[in-house]
Amino acid sequence: MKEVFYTQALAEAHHEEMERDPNVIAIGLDLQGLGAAFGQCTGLYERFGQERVLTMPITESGYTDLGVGVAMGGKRPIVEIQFADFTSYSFDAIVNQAAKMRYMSGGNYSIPIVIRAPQGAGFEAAAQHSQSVESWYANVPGLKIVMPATPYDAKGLLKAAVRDDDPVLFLEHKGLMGFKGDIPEGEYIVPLGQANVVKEGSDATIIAIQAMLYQALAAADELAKEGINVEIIDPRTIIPLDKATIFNSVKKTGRAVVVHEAHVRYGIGAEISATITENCFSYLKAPVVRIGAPNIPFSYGPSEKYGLPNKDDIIAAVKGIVKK
Amino acid sequence: MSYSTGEMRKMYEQIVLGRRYEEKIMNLVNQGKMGAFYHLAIGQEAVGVGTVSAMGPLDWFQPTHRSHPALLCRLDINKMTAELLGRKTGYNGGKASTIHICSNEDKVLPSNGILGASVPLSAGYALSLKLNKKEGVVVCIIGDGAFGEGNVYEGLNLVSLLKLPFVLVVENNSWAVSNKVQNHTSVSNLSERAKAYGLSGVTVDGNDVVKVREAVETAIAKARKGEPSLVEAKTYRWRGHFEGDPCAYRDPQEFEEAKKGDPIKKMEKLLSEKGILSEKDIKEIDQAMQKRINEAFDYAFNSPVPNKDETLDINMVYASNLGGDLA
Repeated sequence: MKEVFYTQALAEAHHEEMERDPNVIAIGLDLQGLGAAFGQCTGLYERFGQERVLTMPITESGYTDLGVGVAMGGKRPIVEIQFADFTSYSFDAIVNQAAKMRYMSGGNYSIPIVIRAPQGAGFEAAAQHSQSVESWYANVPGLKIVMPATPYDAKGLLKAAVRDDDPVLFLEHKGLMGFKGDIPEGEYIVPLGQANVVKEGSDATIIAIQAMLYQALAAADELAKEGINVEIIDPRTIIPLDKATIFNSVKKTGRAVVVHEAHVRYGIGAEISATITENCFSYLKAPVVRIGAPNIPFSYGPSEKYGLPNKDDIIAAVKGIVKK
Repeated sequence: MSYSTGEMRKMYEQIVLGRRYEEKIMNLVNQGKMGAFYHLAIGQEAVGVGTVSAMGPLDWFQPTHRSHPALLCRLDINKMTAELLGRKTGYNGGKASTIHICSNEDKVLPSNGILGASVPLSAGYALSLKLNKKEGVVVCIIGDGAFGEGNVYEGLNLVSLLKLPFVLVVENNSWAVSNKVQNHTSVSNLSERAKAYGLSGVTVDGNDVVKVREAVETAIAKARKGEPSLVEAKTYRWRGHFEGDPCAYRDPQEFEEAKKGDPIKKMEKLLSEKGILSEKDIKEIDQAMQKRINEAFDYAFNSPVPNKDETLDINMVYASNLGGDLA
């Protein structure tokens, strides 16, 4: 094992997959100069050259469509959108083109594209550089959506995403770029659609999405001091969603809290909560609780924190449903 | 004349086929035997036919939603008609109609329902040809209305920067739905916009199939050398935006004037003068095309509609299901 930053893990996945398969190409802003805004593509241009590492003009809509088109021609592009907030400009390419092309064409074309976009708050960067956008896309058939929380998953899931034959929206988290974690020295893959039971427990299940994993772990430590033993599940990919792992846990604990950083209203917590209720109703000892950001845009600077869910919210939610 | 007698006659046949095919759709829609989601190119046939006639077997065609006459130059008429009628035997299993029709085998890229998107998308396809060191040029058609989309600007900028094997044909039919071209664009020739991307552009008479073909051939030859460019073909939409649109917004006088540019009449005059086409030929070609069309519609109407399981097949949405719950 070796310890790497989340961003290094992403860079390693790029290097390994481009080395393995000459059809893998990278498309995005500042790949030549910066090696991507957070260093996810460091050294890629120098190693693979401009034929395979294409630095784009600031034209997200156009170059995401370009990526879809080049994928139709047999390439396997990794398209980076510098901030997930800017995928609003790529929205059509993602939801109307990449997601629907296989179905609309009656199987003439599949789109093996990865659209990488760092999302999330933590940089105190105000309302247009801090959002978590997964629910913008989760309603669209045809996409797979990946949300890694650890360096291990970031690398393993990106490699799986590149090898997948469908469009994958790979949402990195900006606030986790500098997080360190252990990864194997050699090659490994984390398959899409397999949740991770990060911590076992018996009193309640916390389904923690991406950066909220760390808030859930901190909450679990404090709850343990009060004798409440929670199980924590990181779904890792929300499409496909590993429902079996979630249901098995909820059937065991009888209680569930879903926590994500995106706004709570119509967030994916609502979908996961409804799915649990539909499938585990007779096991539930309390209503499923959703935690997310308030339905207010993110603020700038130190006041950003008021818009973010935290461990205290999780502790309060768990205590509210665990009657000791 | 740079084209052989056979080539000239072929182009004439394709224009007639396109016209009669769309008249058939028109009649079926008006009889309530087809839905209303068809955008006819009646009066504009020379643009599509001239463009596809200019292309070689290695070149890729990116159609619009109004490309029936062009598609009939490349696709099997039976399978195409079945697709238009949403039948299982269609090119895309009845999931596309002309709004999304494609055939990888025939080098026809998917028509797109989102105007302008086809430019950066097919530019991406051109990029794949370039990176894979394959011969072939992508020829993409858009309308004057779609040219207003930002995505067209973005796509053409990329085409120019990446020196892609790409030709944009702007089929200026004078109307964007019910908005006249003079009301939605600030230049008199849309080819002038090419300059903004560092590309060259020409404007030709879109009712003259020979002129369209010559211009597109020139553009394809340049594109093969890494020099993409733009061809604007000016024509006029005879029908409504979609079949069923009564076109009440159009000045009847203007339409009468526009009909004088009929590409079929133009071609008949030229070919008769050259002695290529007699009155008898014109009649026989017309009958032969009608026969093909009727057979194609019979085939399509007799083909099965996809059933519920085929329509809601998750494997048509995703190519690989690696676990978890996709549906």
